[in-house]
Amino acid sequence: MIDFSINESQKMILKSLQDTLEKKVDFKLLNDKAEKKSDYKYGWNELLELGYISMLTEENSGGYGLSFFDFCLMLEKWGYNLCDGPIIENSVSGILTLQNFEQEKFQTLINQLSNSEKILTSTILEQYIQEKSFPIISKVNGEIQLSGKLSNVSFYKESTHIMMIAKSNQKKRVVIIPSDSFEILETKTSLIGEEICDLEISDFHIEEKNLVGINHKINNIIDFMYYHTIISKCSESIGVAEHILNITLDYVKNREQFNNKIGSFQTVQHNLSEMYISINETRELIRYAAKEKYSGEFKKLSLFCKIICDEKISQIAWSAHQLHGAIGFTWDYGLHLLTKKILINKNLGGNISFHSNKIF
Amino acid sequence: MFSKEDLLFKKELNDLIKKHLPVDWQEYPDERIDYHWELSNKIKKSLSEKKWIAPSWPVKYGGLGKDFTQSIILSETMAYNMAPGNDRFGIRMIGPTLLKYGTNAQKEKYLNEITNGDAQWCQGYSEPNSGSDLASINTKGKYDESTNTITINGTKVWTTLAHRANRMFILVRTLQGSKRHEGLSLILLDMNDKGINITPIKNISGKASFNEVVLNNVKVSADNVLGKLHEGWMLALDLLNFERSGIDYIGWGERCFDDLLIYCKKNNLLEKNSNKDKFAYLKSSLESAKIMTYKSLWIKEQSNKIHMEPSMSKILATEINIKIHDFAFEILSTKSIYINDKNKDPFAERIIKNRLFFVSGGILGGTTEIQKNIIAQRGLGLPR
Repeated sequence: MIDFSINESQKMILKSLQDTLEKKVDFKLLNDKAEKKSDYKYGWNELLELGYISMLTEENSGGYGLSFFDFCLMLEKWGYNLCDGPIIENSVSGILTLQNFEQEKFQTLINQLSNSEKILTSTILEQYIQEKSFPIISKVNGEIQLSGKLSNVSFYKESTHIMMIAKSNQKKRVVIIPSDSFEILETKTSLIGEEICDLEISDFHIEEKNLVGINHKINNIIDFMYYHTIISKCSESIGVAEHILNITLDYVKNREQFNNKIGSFQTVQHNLSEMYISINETRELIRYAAKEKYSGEFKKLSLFCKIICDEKISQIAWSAHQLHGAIGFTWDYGLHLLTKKILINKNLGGNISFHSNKIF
Repeated sequence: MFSKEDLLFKKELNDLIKKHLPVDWQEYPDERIDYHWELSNKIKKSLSEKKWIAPSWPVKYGGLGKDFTQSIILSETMAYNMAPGNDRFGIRMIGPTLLKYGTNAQKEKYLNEITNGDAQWCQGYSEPNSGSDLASINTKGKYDESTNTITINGTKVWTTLAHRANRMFILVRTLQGSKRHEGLSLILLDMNDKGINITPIKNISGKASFNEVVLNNVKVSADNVLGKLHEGWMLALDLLNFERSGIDYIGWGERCFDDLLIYCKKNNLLEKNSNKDKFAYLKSSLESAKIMTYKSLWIKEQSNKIHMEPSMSKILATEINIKIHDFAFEILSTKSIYINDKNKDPFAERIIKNRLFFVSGGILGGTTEIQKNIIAQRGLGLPR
């Protein structure tokens, strides 16, 4: 049966998150962070306090045992409030993937990831679209070792572990490696001040405990991580877009020109209607895909979400700038931070040509 | 999203439709054409036998008492197959409005007539000087308390299928001297009543699917007023929201998309990356528009409030349908532009005919611009 409802507990999660996170949004501090003048971060600790870091962890492992759909709802609020941290990496590549494919082996790590004792980041979006530059697992003097480079790793400094794809005899393997085993080659700063690292690892001694999915088809694990991650990023972007819509609405309802609120002009109203429609259609598609995680259509739906999100959500940001006029063009107003977050997410996980080749 | 029972219903429905349609049916349903009209009546009767015309209606009115999901499947599947016989005015507009506001006698008479496959409804809203500004209508209905009748005079225009319909729901100004939204009534008319003159209007595709309807002293019982006399405006708007989901456009768009994909594969046109990207984008947009149409139909079931979803889904569905047809037109190139080419591909012929016809999608039932006004002012709280 067709059902688009949000149940009471989901509404409660959304409300508790918004109440907690909105207090933290401070465009001045976020601007400082974008200029590397501060290290202002929030989201992770607030989620930890609310218990939502373990949202996807099964109840018998001490978590909430909530669905991927619930997690995506949470990410809408995460994105809305411009939170920063490896929540998607830790929850999707970490908890959800390990629970689905190697629960018994990684139960301790799942528990640690769920209570933030350990924090995992992942390179899945970067590595999935780059068919080259995988670190190599090889046998050296009878010992299995990992060596190579990783590019554009988010949240390296916050994480204790990195989940990544490596190659062994031309076959892909998924491995989890302690972060401190890597050396930083370069630290880059994203458009909004997030640190992104290029890393190198040399002669790291691989053990059985580092390998994920030895008894499973590795491609299933990699696909599982990739498709769940792109849906998650889309959910985050929807939240950002909702924030953009709300500040734009607020602006046009108050800004006066020609002795009228500019929101009374039809062309402005139509632009806002289009933004509202784009948000709604994208959000409903993403939520629908998040609910369909066990259907045979999940992969295709995920790609549809990514394509629509990339196209429509960035357009919302550009429309918002047009409607704001010069004030939105300033650094201090902060609209640029929301726009940049959307652009960053758009550029992760492949473009339409990559996705269309997977669909057709 | 769909249960096994829903999917079985879809399969059986497809089988039933295919049984009636000629092999390789390439025509958009146009009940103006005699054999389309015959097909329409045959299909309606077949659907009626299985109680499938309106599966979500109560059993006593010829439905199956199912939830609205099967009604969605019905509309989408009929549109996908381009099958005549999907009376959206009866099943999706006046039917749900009657269920909500009708008297028992009205429900008994009109709903059963629809589910028996005996009715074709048309909509009497627009007038020569009242299009997007529906509240300015000028067709007058004079109420005579002594005979309990209303005498209607005026002109309605762009009335799709008026020449085939035996019923019309018509918006009339019954309170003399009233203005705008006040004093209007929604009345159920028999198209065989004396004083109704219908003149076909040829449309962009060279056919006359809509008409001008002149009403000259048409007398109708006041028992045929739906809801209260002089208080029809909100009903008229509510009825439009039943229409606005855009579900048909999803079916038509999806059919065009699938056929175009087959055409491109057959002609090695999918090897071109730009085509593949365009297909991917259109498919993604089609899916999101489809989900929105489902949501707008779902939300109508949840509460009586006026929601923004029907306006949004109507825009999305009509626009994606047009984008898909535009892409098909582009792919088919010059194959689409001749009307007397002996070797003409029936698919190419269909595409151009439909593309022209679908101009109407963004106009009827409230233009895209009006929908955006509704969203901005009622949904986003922007000033009027």
